[in-house]
Amino acid sequence: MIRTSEKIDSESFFLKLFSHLALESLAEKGKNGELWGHLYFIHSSPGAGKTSILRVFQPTTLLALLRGHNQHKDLFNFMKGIDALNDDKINVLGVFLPIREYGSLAYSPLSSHQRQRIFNALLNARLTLALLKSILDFAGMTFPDGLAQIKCTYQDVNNHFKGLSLPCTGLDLYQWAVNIENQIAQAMDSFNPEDILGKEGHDEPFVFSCFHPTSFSLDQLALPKRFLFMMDDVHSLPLEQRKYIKQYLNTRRLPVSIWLAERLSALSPEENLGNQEGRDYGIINIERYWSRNPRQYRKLLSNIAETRASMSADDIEAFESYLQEQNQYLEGETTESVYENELKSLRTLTDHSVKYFPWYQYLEKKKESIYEKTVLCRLINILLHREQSRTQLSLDFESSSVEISQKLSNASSLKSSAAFFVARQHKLPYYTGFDNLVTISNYNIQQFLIFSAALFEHVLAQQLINRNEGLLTAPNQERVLKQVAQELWNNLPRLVNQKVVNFLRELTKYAEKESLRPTVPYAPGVTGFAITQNYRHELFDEKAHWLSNPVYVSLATVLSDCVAYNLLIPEEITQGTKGTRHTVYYLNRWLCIHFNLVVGFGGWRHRKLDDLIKWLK
Amino acid sequence: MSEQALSDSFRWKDYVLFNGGNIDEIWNKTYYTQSRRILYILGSGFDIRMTNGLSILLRNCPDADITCLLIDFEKSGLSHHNIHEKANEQNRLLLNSMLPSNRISIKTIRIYADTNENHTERQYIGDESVVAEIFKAWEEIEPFSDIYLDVSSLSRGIYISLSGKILSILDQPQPASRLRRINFFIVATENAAMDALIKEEGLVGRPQFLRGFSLTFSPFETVKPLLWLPMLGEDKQTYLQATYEELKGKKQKLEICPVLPFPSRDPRRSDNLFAGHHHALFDELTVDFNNVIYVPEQNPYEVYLGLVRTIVRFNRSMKLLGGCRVAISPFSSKLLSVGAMLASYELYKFRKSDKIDVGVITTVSESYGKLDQSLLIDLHKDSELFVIWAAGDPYPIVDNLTL
Repeated sequence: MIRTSEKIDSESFFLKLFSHLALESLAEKGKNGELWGHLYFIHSSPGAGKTSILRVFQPTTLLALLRGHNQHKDLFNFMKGIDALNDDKINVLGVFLPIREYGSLAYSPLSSHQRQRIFNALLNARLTLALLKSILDFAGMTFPDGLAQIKCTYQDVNNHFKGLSLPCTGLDLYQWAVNIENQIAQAMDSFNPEDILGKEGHDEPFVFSCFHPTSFSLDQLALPKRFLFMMDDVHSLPLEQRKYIKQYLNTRRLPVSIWLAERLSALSPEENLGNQEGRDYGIINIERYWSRNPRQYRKLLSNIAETRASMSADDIEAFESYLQEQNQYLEGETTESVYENELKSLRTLTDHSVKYFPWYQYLEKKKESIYEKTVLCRLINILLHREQSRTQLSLDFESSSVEISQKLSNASSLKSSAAFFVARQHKLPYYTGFDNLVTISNYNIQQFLIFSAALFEHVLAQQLINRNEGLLTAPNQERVLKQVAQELWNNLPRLVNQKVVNFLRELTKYAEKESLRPTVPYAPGVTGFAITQNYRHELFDEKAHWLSNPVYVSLATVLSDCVAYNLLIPEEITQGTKGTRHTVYYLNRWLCIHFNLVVGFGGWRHRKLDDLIKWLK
Repeated sequence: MSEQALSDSFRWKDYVLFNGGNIDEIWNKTYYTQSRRILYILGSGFDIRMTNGLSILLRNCPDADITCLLIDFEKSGLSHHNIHEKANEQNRLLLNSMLPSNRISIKTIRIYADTNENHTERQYIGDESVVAEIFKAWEEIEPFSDIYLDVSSLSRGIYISLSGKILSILDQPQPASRLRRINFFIVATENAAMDALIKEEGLVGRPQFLRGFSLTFSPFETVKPLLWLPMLGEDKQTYLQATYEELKGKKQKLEICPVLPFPSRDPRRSDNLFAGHHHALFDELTVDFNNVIYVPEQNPYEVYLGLVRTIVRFNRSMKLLGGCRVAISPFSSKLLSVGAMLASYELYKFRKSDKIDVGVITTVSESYGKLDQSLLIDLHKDSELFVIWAAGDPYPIVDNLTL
């Protein structure tokens, strides 16, 4: 199953696979007229869909959408709604620039100012080339063949384009840009670092502000009314250049549509906090958007799954319906003996006092399935463990059934923990159903596709063997998901150092121990940690921070690898006294499957640096 | 053009290589008198072969005027704690016992740089650092008659770029006042069995082209076919896959010709490598069986000649498409990697009119796994020293070569 946008060659095929729901994060801004003429940062982890979103706005895709609007009505209507196109023309010319090949600039012998100038020159050259290509794509012409037919009428009153006489043709502009790019590339790769010193550079990335649709003409073709400059993988820029371009674009407040897509891991803690007040740019954090709109995220994944399933095999349309839900299976399979086991465990806890007798009565009266009663029994077990662990002595009064109902209602958040305990103890399937698949995806479409593809293959195989066999049973689903998780785990030592593997193993052991405590203090279970040195904004001082302490070098490296490879997902959380901020490192959910942990979010513990260091061994 | 004519057009068609017993032909008291000044460059590391070359040189030429430049590596905030620190230290002590302290200068270079403020991601910059920091001016090498670069304890990211830099300096017209040419040698203590035991672990960032041997892939240029020559070593499947993904992402028409070492000291080595990488090469990368190239394991010049011939022929066959670009991945032993460097240097950096873009792309490993030092010491008895004379007296001064 194709997982990355870059690997899908044909626009029409891309449009078939692309769900308009992936653009929901833009919808509100589009409706409020805030989408165009502004600077936006699009943030996410790898595989969350940044590049796909940018691809939709490229001219070849928009033109394909315009031509085939009947086949892609939802997407077409959405794009109309945000004024990207209307019934007969596209309104935005997407200029797509992937950020590559800037790395060596940071380590040249130039001063900071000189590096900035060279970077400006390179960026201007590449943006110009990207713009020319977009114009030819819009015109349906091959790049660079049709360049001579483009006329650039820009009046260079500020003498930005040194060495180029404007107005000129697209071919002249192309050669100007290619010369700059080649000369700088050669100088940056030279064995003599001094070679780059001879290059003049540019004062600023003026292409953003110089070129408008009115600056260009191509025969009688009317260009779209606005440009949209899209820079992908901005995190690939060296730190200095990344800071510079962001600051430049933010302070200039150009009335131009500019989108910068970058990975979350590239952001500073301040940027990650997501406080957008007083800023002149917008931030679209894809994962955060989905985490705040889980229903829409589920709908998106459902949509993606259905589309791809139906394209793969005629008979399979509603992929979701082929995944047996956990309770469907367990209600059929949970036996009296499992319930009896739970009751026995409860009795062991409560036999010393009659005050717990009403709880049994409450259970007995429940007219639910055996599985539901088993989970309820475990939930009661947890509640009573908590009660007994309280140091304050309680009087031995029985609880009334109203009180019991109330307590159980207040503890509804523990139900998932109870279900997890039951599954673990009695080796019942737990990682099942489409909702579980959505959670496992970690708000990452690529990860969703990895797991769902494996399940889909089994559904197909089942169909081949027996066409009447629809459902992929809960145990089979869990088996498949665990196999995928196992493969990912087996592959890990090839990608990361053994210390990383050791760290994750110890972390999951700790998480398991904390999650299985009878009182479940960290519902639904522990799957993350925060480093005890509470970090506040004003304390983020490199001199004081643990990251600069040589004692913790290896820990810092391990954490960096974990974040870079999406093994740990950092999330900024405000909790506790005076709005203390914590960076919580959550295990990627596939690791939770591999190590039999809960997949729900929320439970985490503080850990001291010295304790974390021990996990490296 | 005939094969002979083609070979005659190569810079190192006639080469000088010493190994084993004939090292005495160059490393002797007659050649190295006090009138010659040697700069011996080596890297600080845990490999017990680090000082092997220097110790043999000192033994054979006790009166030689030798200055040592030790390249050390900054333990930046994101370097893994070095589990080989003890072996490192032992090598340093051994080096200090060989030469007086005023004969050893240390240059520390950065090998990693943070790419975000969280310090959670980093990039390998060893190649950039070594080009920027070592020999900033001609005056630094001018006093010497012979420069030795011992690659035994240097990673490929360092020695490939540094070799290229030294060659490029020496290829510039030398000052008229200089009467004698500077000779440049690459020294390697080769031992494939030891190499197989030193396991690289983890990956830092994405595979990258090395400084001086970088190819730039603009999404706006005309696409030329890209010939990828991965030189295989033991257990390199992950690096192979990662580099393939990286090159595939450049949206080029990719042709893959794996390079295997044969003949080799272990005559089954290429068979074992073939078998070990079979799934990766032929199932995942769908390489054509006929594309496999064999080069001698223990002669970097023959490796160089084999690669250059292959590249030139492929480039000619792609003439209608504007020629080709080439990426070499030296995942193999040091001698083969040196051969790759020579091929890339000649075709990409040295030639002016018949230039072919030949880059070197490699992965950088996080660290090396734990080692059984006693086993390594035992295997070291079979190590063989190679001295590759890359520039200087034996070679004519060539301004330009034409293919």
